[in-house]
Amino acid sequence: MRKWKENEYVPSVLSILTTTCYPALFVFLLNADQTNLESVLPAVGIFAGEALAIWAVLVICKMPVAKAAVVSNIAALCMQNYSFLEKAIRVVLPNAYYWHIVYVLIMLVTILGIVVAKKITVQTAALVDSVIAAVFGVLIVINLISALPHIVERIENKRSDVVGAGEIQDAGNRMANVYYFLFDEYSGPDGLEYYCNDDDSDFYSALEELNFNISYHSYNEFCEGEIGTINIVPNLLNLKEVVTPEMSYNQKSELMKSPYLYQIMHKEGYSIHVIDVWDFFDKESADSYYENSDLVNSSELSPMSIAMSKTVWYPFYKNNAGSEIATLSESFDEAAKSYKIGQEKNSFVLGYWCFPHIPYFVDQDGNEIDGVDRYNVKDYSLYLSQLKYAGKCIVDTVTEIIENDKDSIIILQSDHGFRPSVHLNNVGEAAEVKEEEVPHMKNILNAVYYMGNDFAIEGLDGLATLNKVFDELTEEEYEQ
Amino acid sequence: MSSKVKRRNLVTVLISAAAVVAVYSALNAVVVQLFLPKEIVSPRKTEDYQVAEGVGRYCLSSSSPTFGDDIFQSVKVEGWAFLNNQEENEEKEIIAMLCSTDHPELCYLLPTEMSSRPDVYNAYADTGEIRGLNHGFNVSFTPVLLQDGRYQLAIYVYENEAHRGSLLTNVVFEKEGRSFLQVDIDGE
Repeated sequence: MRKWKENEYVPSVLSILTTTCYPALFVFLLNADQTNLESVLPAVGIFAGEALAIWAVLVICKMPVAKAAVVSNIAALCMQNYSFLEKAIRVVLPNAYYWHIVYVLIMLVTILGIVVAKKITVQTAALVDSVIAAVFGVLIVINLISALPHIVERIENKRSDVVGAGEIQDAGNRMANVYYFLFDEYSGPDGLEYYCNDDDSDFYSALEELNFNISYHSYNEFCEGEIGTINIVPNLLNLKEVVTPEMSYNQKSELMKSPYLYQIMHKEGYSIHVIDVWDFFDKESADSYYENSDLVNSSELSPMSIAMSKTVWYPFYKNNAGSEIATLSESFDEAAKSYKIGQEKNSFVLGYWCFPHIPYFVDQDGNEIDGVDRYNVKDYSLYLSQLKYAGKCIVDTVTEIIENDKDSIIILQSDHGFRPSVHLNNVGEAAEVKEEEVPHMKNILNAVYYMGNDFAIEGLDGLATLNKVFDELTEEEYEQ
Repeated sequence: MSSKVKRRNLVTVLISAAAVVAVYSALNAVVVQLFLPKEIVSPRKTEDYQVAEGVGRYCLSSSSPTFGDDIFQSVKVEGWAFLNNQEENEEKEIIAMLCSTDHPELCYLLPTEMSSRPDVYNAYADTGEIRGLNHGFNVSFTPVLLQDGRYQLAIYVYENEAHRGSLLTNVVFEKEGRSFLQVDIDGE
């Protein structure tokens, strides 16, 4: 009996560590090909630290170690799954503020703690701890094994030297400035109608008034059907299908360094200016670059952000929506003013916005939304609202460009449409991607302003549209 | 277990439950009192703050009011205001007010932080109706302790004893439970 008591610390502490580390590690391992372990360690530290602190306090208060671990695990689960519990409690107490919910949870954990202390034996508590440790331990190992190839590859991958995009050739003649703006997850009308029962007609009407040529039925094709930004943007920037199924994420990223599009634009005498506040494109191969780190840190694939957004600490974890909105607004301003670059010389402005992509932080009027809905993929209205705001920003931006650079070419595209089931999987909620959904997720925004002229693109995918534009502009067949 | 012990346990449970409910009811006031950040003010209720409408100008910044996503649901209001005046106004004060549209006697005061606005002075100097530079104001407030109802935002300006009064804005808020929203002046 004495020996058993000495060993009860191991399953107790193990159960706490596995319970608290699992959520953050799970999110990290799910996205292991795109993110670092360092990004998730603070969340792991916070979760484990708070649970161990509760456990230590209970042990100091003379509660048996195993029972203290059970109570600590209950408290940790409540803290980590706060957003779900908040929604449940709000059904009963709709006017409750944050502190009311926390208070109710503290009371519930206290009552459960009393039940554990009074009604459960130490042996039973130790058994519960062992089972919890085993279950979460196995889950971590399974996820680790499946993510291992990505982790190894990421460690081994060394960033290759940047290949120069070539010198700007003196073309000798003035050509139309080209603006290519890419909006991540801006759904085409078909996809939007399917998911949100909205055809975005206000946005398209505004573009038509500005003499944009619009394709209402454009669908991007993805290798192996995996609908993701990294599977299409390298193709777009290289004007042909360069992504293959066997490539890793990093190999695909490499394809965006000094891509073929940069090379031909340099050859045609264009300077390349990149606007990218999400740090998605390669900086080195552009001639100038506009960036801002605020939005990089709040991108979808920040495991810390995802893990913290569901916990009791979410109000204190600075998502900084205000700063995000300000940065977003600045990036659109930068795009609107980018016509100035092309006043002296031919310029190619390439802009990327991970917007209206998740996370959701703004409503259709540009106001911050409740932080608890940041990763609420199930509520499609949040996406629709963010898309509407994106549409307004796009219209304002291109209006200013056209007013000041009428004889320009503006290409507005998205990489793919709305993908709720993909996001649910990314944030750890298993969701089946239905066969019928796939075409709708591939439906993109595709609109071209070609110096105010007609330019038929209806039905073309993103790649074909780009090739048509650049062939027409340079009067050469650039598709390799 | 004897019935006496059972009764004692029942009484203990009932008293504990009552205490839990009492604490729950008092939480808003306690949390605002203890944890409200310095930069956010809690509106101070007054029922004897009847002030005449002043003659002057005001402007709220284009982003006002701004609704924050912090746990206190802070709302920021900023802009500038002055009353027509050519006398000394070194003691100038600007207080934002939330005036109940349902109960005329009910009003909440929001002391603002003032700032220099030479641009406002320059814009209106020719009119001869403006004095000094301190016309800017901003305030962040929490609506947590407001009574439910509709409130019109007014700006009370004290230039000096002879020139003081409030300027009614067209900003109307509605508080209902946890929700605090701006509504159109016509109520929609």
